[in-house]
Amino acid sequence: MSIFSKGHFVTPFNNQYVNKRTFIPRDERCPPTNLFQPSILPGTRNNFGHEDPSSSTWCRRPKHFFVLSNAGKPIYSRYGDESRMSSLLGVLQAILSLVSDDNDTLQSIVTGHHKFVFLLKGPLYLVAVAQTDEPERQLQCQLGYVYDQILSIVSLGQIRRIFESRHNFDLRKLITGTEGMLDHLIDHLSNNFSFALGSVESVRLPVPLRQRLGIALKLAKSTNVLYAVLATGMKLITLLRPKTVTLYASDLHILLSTVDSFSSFKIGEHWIPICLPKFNAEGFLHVYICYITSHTCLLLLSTDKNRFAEMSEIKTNVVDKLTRTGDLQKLDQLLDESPYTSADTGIPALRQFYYRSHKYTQHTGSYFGEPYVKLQEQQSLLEKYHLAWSCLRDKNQPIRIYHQTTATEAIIGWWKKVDHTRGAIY
Amino acid sequence: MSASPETSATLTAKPIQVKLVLLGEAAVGKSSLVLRFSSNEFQDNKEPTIGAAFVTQKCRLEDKVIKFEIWDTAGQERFYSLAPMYYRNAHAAVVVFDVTRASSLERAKSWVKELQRQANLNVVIALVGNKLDLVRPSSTGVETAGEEEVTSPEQGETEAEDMNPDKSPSSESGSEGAESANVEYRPRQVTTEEGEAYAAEAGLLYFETSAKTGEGVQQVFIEIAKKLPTDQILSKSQRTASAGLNSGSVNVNLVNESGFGRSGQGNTADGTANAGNGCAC
Repeated sequence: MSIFSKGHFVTPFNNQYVNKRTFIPRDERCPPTNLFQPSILPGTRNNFGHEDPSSSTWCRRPKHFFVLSNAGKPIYSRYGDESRMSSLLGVLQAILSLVSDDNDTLQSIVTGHHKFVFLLKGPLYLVAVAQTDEPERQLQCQLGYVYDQILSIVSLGQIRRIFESRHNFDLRKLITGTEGMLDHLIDHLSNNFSFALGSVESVRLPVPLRQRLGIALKLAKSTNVLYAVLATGMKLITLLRPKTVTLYASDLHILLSTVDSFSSFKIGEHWIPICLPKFNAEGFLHVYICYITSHTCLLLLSTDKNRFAEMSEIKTNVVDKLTRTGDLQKLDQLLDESPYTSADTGIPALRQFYYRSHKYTQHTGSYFGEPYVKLQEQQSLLEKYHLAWSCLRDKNQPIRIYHQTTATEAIIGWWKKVDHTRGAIY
Repeated sequence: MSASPETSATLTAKPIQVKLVLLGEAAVGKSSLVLRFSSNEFQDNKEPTIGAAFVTQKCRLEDKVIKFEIWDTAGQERFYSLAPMYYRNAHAAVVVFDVTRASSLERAKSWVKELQRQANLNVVIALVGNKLDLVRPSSTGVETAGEEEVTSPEQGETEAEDMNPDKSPSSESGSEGAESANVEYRPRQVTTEEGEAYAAEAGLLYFETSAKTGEGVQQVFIEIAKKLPTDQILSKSQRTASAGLNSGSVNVNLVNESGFGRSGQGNTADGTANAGNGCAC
C-alpha cells in the first residue's frame, strides 16, 4: 500500500485556500471575520512553513514530521502548512484508529522507499515519514524529542485537561508562534549526533577556565535557582545543579534547542515559562535567558515565576565577577575560534571521533574535516555512527568493541567500563 | 550609591526609572515597537515573543531623563495569565493594536479594561495603532499597483510558491510597493477617528505608529514621559530607597555606579507576588 505517492495527495483547499498565517482577506468581498483566526500568527515562519504540499519539492523531502490529534486535527508539519494536509492526516488517523480499535498499536509501515513511523502519546499522534536509511528505532527516538518539545510549550497536564473536556480541540491555538522551535529541533535531530547519543555536547575549554566559570556560576546558588547553565548554541559550557536533582540530557536538549531557536533571545533579558518533561511533565519552570556575550548564554531556571529580579541580579553578579577576572573575554575568544580537529589528538589517520562520558552524560566530538565537508557526507557518516551506537548499547546483545569497514573508512566503537568511547574513523 | 534626600539638587541629571509594560494581541508589533524605540532597528518576520522580554531605554526630556524599564509581553493567549505579573506596579502601559485588524482593537480594549481594574490607580495608558506602513497611501498606491501588474506578474507568483503565499495571485489588488518587495498593502480596519474616540472615552493617550518606518514611535514614549507624575515616582522611590525597603516601586540610584541596571525593576517584579495564576496557561 502506498499512500505517500504524489498521486494520492488531495489538497481540498487548492482553490479557495485561506492561508492561516496571514490575516489578509484573499477576497475582500468576503466578510473578514470568516477568514480571521486571531490566535494564529502571520509571518512567523518562513522556514519552509509555506511550502505547497502538492508540490514535488514537498514530496521529495527526505523526512517529514507530522503531529496530529487523535481526532485527526492537524497540529504541526515540518514542511508546508498542516491545515492543507487534512486528507493525508485524516488517512493516517484512520489507519491508526483502526489498529487501536483492536487494542493494538501500529508502530510503523514500510512502503516502497518510504518508512512511516508512529508514536502515539495520549491525544497526540506523532508521525515521521522518512526516505532515509535511518532505522525505525532512531525515528521513534526523534519523535520522542518532538513530543518533548511540544510538552515544553504545552505541559502534559494542560494537554490532558484540554482534551478531556474538548476532544476536538485545535492545539495549534496553543503552540502557534512556536513552530520555529519545532523546526529548529527537527533540523538538529538529523544533523546533530547529541540527540541519538542522549548526551549533551560540551565545549572544549582549558580546565582552569572551566573551573573559574563554575566558581562564578556558584553565585547563582540560591533557594530560588534550580539549575544554572552556561551554554553556547546547543553546547554546554558549565552547569550548576543541586546534588539531588538531576538535569536529564533530554531536558537539557529541549532547553538549549528552545533558546537557540529564537534569535530574539540574544537581545535583552527574557523570562519564559518552560516545561521540562523528564523533570516534571505536569508543570512549568521559569527560565531567565540572557546572552552575557555574543556567544555565551546564561540560563537560570526557577520554580517561582516571581523571581525575575533575583535572576537578573545574579546575572549582574556573575557578569561582574567574570569581567573582573577577564574570563568572560577569554571565553568569548575561545568560542570564536574554530572547533578542534582530530589532528589535535595526535593520532595519525584519525578522521573524526566522538567520546561520550557515561558518568556525565556529556560528549565531545572533533570537527568534521576532510573528507566530510559536505552536509551529505556528514550525514552519511552519522548514519554509520548511529548503527555503531545502536549495536554498542543494545541491551540484549551488548557489544564491547564494534568494527566496521567500508571502501574508504573504518569505524571503530569501543565501550569501556567507565566510559564510552566510540566512533574512530580511519 | 545609595539613595539620599540630598540628590534632589541633582534631580535633573539622575534618570527617573519608569516601569512600562506593553500589552496587546499577538503579532500587532509590540516587540517591533520596542526594538524601534530602543535600537532604532526593524526586523521583518520577527519571531513572536515567548514569555516576556525586558529592555531598558533612556528617554531625554527638556528637564529630566527618564529611564524606561520595558516589559515586552507575549501576545499569545497562553501567556495571558502571566500578564498581571508585568503590569502590576507599572507606571505606564502601552496597549497596541494593528490598524489593519479590527479584532486586535477589541483585544486592546479588554486589556485596557483589565488595566483600569487591576493595575496601578494612576497608570498612564497609551493606545497605539501600529502598522501604518501597511495601509496604502491613498494616492500613490494605485499607480504602483498598476505598474507592478504590467511588469512582473509572474515574479509575484513564483515568490509566493517559494516561501510567501501572502503574495499568492489573489492578492494582486494589494501588490508591492516600488522599492520593497515585501510590502503588501492592506485595507485599514480601524480608522483614526474610531481609535481616537475610544481613547478619549476611556481616558487614554492615542497614537498611530509604524515600527517599520519609525513613524510616531518616539512620540509615544515622549508623550508618556511628559504625562507621568515623575515627581511622585521620584519621591516614592527615594522614600523606598532611603528606608531600605523593597516595596515595589522604582529605585533610582543603584543604576549608574554599581551596574545593577535592573535592580529598580527587580524590586517591582519582586513585589508582584500575585497569587492564583498557576503557570503559563
